[in-house]
Amino acid sequence: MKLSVFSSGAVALLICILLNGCSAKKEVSSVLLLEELETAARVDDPAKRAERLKIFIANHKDHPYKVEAYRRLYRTLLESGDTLQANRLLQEAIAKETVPWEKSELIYERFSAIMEADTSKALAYADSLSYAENFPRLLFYIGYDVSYATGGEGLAERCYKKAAELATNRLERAQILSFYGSMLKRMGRRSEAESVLAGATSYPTGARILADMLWEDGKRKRALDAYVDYVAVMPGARKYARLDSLYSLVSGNTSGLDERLVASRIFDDGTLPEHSFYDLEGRRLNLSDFRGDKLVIYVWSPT
Amino acid sequence: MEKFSKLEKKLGFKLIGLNIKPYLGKAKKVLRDKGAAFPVLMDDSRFARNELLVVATPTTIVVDERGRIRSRFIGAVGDFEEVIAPILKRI
Repeated sequence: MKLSVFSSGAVALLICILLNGCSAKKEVSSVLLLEELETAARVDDPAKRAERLKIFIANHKDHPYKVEAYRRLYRTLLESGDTLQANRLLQEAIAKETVPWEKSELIYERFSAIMEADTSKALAYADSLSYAENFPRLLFYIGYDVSYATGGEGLAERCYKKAAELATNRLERAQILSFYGSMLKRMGRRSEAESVLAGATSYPTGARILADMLWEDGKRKRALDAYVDYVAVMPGARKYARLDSLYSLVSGNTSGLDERLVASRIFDDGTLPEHSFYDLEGRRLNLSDFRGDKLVIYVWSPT
Repeated sequence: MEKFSKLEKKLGFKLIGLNIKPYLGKAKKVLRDKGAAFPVLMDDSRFARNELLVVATPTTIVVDERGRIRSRFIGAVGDFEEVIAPILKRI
């Protein structure tokens, strides 16, 4: 069954195995896996595409990329009109998934599809998830989505609060509070928004919304501090935030602003953990290979 | 991205990209279109999220020669040289 369909990715994998003398149980380059996945996802015929994606999932059920394969398979089945099979397949995948990140991504995929089709059903599903689930990223995403649905603010608030309480990553917590505070401001609950956003200034959105609010309220000194926080973490926003003009207005001139920004941008956030990655050419690189050099890591996504 | 590559030698640092999304074709296309000439690593284990505290992209992280994380930017860096040069000088 596994060898019944050969994608170019599978051929590449076989070549790799032969050249390297490695067994199929050894780690496979994530680049080869992605080639295999993307080749499967490009198949025109939805039925054949679904079959290829199922084979990918079966062959790589322990790899995180299976989540992307499930996502594409789910969408393929929905596009084909096979809603029943799509939902059953995703529900089964959610039920057997044990890795919290991966389970959450599958649940969010299910939620998003319901949200696209039927808002009231999505709100009911989100309501049950807000009690049952404990993964902060999932609750944050759901909170954000339902916050814009009619009558969804209360549910969003519950999701945001729970997500912020559960978040162990301090930047993630600041991000969640930024969006929670933004919603409170939108709802006219300004003093609560200000209080929530005060804990979110390490995330640019939170710092900016707080700064705008304080400025509108005439609290110019505090607003300026928040604008500095904003631009310190997101330097490209300096012009947009009119930081130099505001700084001049409050402090008389911009003397010391550059130094203040540079000083606030430098800290010691611990040792870069060692990790090994494949590059786009399929070569293995370790972060420790760069020890001894100043290093800039640009984390991005091509979407 | 283009600017990043050009400044590596001038400012004395090494640059690597870390792609956190499972999109290979799109990643290659973006890099080709932008003329980026630095290594791009595929993060297939959520290392950036779990270990580098990345919650949004792009995020730019500066590490010193001893391997300590010394700065982090979320979103647009703007004028890369103007922003990064004083940090690289001091760390």
